[in-house]
Amino acid sequence: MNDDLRAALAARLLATADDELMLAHRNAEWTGHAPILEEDIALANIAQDELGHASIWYGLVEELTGQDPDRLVFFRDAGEYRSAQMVEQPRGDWAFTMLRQYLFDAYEMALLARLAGSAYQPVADAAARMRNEELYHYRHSSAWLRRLGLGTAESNRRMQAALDVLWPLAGQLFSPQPGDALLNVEGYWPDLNELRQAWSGVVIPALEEAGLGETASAAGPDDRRVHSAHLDTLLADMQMVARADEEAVW
Amino acid sequence: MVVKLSPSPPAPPHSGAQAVPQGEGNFPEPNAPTSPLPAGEGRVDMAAANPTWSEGRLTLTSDAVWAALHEVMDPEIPVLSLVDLGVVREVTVSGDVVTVTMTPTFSGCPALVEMQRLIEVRLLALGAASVAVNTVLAPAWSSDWISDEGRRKLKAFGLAPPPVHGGDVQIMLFDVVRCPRCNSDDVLVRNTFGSTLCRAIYYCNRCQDAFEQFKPL
Ligand SMILES: [Zn+2]
Repeated sequence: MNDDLRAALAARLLATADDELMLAHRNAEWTGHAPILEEDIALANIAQDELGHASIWYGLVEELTGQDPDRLVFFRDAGEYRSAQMVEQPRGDWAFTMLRQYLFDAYEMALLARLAGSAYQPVADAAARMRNEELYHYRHSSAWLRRLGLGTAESNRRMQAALDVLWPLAGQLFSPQPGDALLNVEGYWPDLNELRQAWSGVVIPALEEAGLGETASAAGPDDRRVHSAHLDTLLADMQMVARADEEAVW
Repeated sequence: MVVKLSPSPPAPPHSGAQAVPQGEGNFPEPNAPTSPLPAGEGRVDMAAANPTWSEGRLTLTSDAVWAALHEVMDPEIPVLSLVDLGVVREVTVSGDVVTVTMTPTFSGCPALVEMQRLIEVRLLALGAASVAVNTVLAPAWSSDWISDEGRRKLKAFGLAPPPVHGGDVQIMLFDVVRCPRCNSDDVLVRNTFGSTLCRAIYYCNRCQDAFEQFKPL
C-alpha cells in the first residue's frame, strides 16, 4: 500500500470510528434516565455495541499509522476529530435520540453491507463481524420511528422537530474527504454518492410512512473538520478522567 | 407528505420502505455465511487429555489443552465453557509453548479480556511455560457455533438457547423461542436487548415469569 492510499484509508477509518464513539457517548448519557427500564437497557446495549465498533475501527487505524487508540480517544482536541456533527448533538428528547439512531443505523447498515466486500481484508472482516449486531439496532430504531411518528400528535410533533434539526446534518455522513477517489478505485471503501442514494432510498419512504414530512432545506455542514460547540462540551466530559492523570494505569 | 431533501439526491428505485440496505453498486455481495467449526475440532478425548512427563520434561498435547479449555467458563455464563461457546478457534502446541486463537462474540463484549486472562491462567496451571492468546475477527463468530452440549447447559442454567439460523440473520429473529423452564412456546419478546450484550428478555405466559435468551448472532 502506498503512502497516499494508506493516509486516505486511515482518514476514512478515523472518521468512521469517531462517529461511533460520539454516538456511543451520547447514547450512554441516557443510562439511568431512559423513559422506561427496557429502553434504558436497550440504549446501554446499543451504546456498548457502537463503542465496540469504534474500538475495532480505531484498531485498524493503529495498524496503518501506529496511533494508540487510547490516545486517539482521550487526548485529541475537538479540531482533530472527524466525527459528523449529527452524532455530536446533545441527546435531546427521546424522539431526537431515536430518530438520530434510526438515521445512523440505516447509514451503518448500508455502509457495512458494502464494506463486507471491501478489497482491504481487515475492513471486510470487521464489517462482517458488525453486520448482525447492527441489525438489532436497525430493527429497534425502525420500530421507534413508527411508534413515535404514528403515535400521538405530540410524539409526531417531536419527531418532526427532530427531523428538522437532523436532516440538514445527515448529509455530512456522506461528505467527501481527500483520497476518497483512491479508496474507491482500489475497492477499499464504497462511493459515498452511491451510498447516499441507497440510504435515501430506504429512509425517505420510511420517514413518509411514519407520517413525517417536508423539512427545512437549509444546507448543513460539509467538511468533517468543522465541529459544533457541542463537541467541546462532550469532550470535556469524556476526557476529564483520562486527562486528570495521563500516566495512570488502568 | 413528501420529504424534501436539500441538496436533493436523485430519487433511487427502492424495494420497499423497510428494506434493509443491501450491498449493491461497486462492491461484491458480502461473504457467505460463516463456516462452522471443522468436524472434530473442539471435541476432546478425555483419555488422552492428561499431560505426561517424559525424561523429566512435561509434554503438553493438543488434546490436553482442549480439555483444559473445556474447564474455562464464560465469565458471564459460568456453566458454559469457552469451547462450548465456540470462541476457541485453534490450539497449537510446541513443546511447552501454547498458542490459542480465539474469536470475540459481540464486538463490544467486555468479557473478551477476562476470557483471555482465564485461558492464560488455566494453561499455565496445566504446565505450559508460556501462553499466547490471539484474537481474530474472521470468520465472524456465530451463535450457531455453540455446541449441543453448550445448548443443554444454557437451558439448564435458565437461558433459552439461540435458534440455529445457518447465517440468515433476518429469519432467525422470527424463530420460535421456548421457555427454558416449561418448554412452552407461548412467550413474548419483551426486549431484544438484555442484561449483557448477548441476552434478550422474554416473558413466558405459562409460567407468568420472565426469562432470558442467548441472542442469535
Ligand atoms: Zn414457562
